[in-house]
Amino acid sequence: MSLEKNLAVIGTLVRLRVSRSLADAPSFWSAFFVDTTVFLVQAVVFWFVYLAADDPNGWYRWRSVFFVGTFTLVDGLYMTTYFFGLIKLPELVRTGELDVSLVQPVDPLVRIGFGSFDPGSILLALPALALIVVAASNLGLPITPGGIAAYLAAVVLMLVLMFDLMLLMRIPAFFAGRIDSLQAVENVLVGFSYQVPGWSYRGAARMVFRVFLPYGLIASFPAESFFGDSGPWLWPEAAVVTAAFTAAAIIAWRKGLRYYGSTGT
Amino acid sequence: MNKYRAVASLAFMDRIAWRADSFMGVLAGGARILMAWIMWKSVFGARPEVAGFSLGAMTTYYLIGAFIGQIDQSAAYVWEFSGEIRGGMFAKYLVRPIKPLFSFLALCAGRSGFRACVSLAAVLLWAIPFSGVLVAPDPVGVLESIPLFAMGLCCLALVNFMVSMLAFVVQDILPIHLIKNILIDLLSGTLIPLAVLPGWARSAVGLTPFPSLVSTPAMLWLGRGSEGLASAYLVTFAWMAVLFLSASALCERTLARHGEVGV
Repeated sequence: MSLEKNLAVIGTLVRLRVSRSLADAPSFWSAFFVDTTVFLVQAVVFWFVYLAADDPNGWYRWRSVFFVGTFTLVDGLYMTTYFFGLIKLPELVRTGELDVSLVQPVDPLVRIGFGSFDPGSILLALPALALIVVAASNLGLPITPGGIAAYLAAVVLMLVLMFDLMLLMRIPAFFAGRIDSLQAVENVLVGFSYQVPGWSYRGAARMVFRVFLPYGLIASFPAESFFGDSGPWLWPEAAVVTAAFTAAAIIAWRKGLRYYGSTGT
Repeated sequence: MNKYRAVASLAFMDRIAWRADSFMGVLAGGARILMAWIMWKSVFGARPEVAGFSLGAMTTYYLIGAFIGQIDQSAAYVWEFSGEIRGGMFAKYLVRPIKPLFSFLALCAGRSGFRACVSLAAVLLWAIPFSGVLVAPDPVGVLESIPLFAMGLCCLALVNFMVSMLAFVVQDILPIHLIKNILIDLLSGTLIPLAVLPGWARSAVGLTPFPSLVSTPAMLWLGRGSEGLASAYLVTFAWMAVLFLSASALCERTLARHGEVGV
């Protein structure tokens, strides 16, 4: 299916979801409350860990605040766009409801991923931007149009990577039925990536969480690209990792669909 | 009582059928320990202690937390139970000679029993690579923690039952379920040990039943926290009674909304 048609489908799905949210105010605000709770709890955890250790090794206070703001921004954006759609994939496969998406004249992955677009989550971007601006001014970093553009491009790249990771974590549902435990592993990895700034990894952990299980890149890479002092390999590293995971996710999705036996697997 | 024992037994055996998920459960426990160890190793740096914990004690806390924190299966069952309400399949609980609340608790007990076996295997497996840093558990603390943990699990299952029953009232329980999960992760000490919190916050959290799910048992296993054991038992038991009465009342009220083909 062509890119234009997929974009048109995404646009239609988004319009439908926005109309529904406007008609159903509680569901709009409930998404906002979920995201705000996630943000507050992560902030509390981060703050108490920071306080308990009295400036942990290599975390750097205002860089860490910038990091928290960035993960909150990424969190709000992926919750708005595809989180609530992809999270349902294992249940769709197990119950056979995936059939509904397969018989529609749209790309099933686009239909599932963006069919639960949630405008309420976008409000989380407000506290995120506040944290980012406060941290940037305390760090004395200049906020230039070029810097903002590079930062936003890095956030978009990480949204693509997060989509790939979410999809890859759910593909085993085609082969194993229930994958509750794998989703528990994912929760641990996501929570971990939101608690530890990527620049504090050392040795093998750095390789693991920035390349093989790149949850450590999600919030750290946009922040590091904004700081601008991480060397020339930062962007190539993130681009290559994202491209590799996108290719892996597409291949795995196609294999899963071929294995799918309809009416429940 | 026998019929609920049968529900629990069937739920236990049903879990055996999902072998791949059980295997991944072993991985999940290991991932939690590994992530915690990496995070706290980064936080500790050259420090010998953080909030009264050595790195070994902190790793042991997360090992215990990974074991007991995975035993609860009522949170995962919320999806299925509420789906049955929305999908018109709830009638089966009404035509069988069982009460929905007790059926929910029995099924969760069966599934949680199976998960306890898997988690025990996982923790023994994952203790091997961390054996150099772990602190040996206190046998008295282990025994003291078991009834408290069981009451905590019961409280959590009752909360999850009430969240499921809200499917009769609201169109989508997902946000409520997610918020509840996030808050319980914080209040139980799953995300960070409650000992890291300031005194006033620890006292406030101690008034809820949730520390008995991870924090209090883990501290008892580490040989700490026995001075607050009596109050933990009292608070958790009182909450269990309150939650049971609330769940029963909510069940009665929401069942009046039941229609034959769902809501």
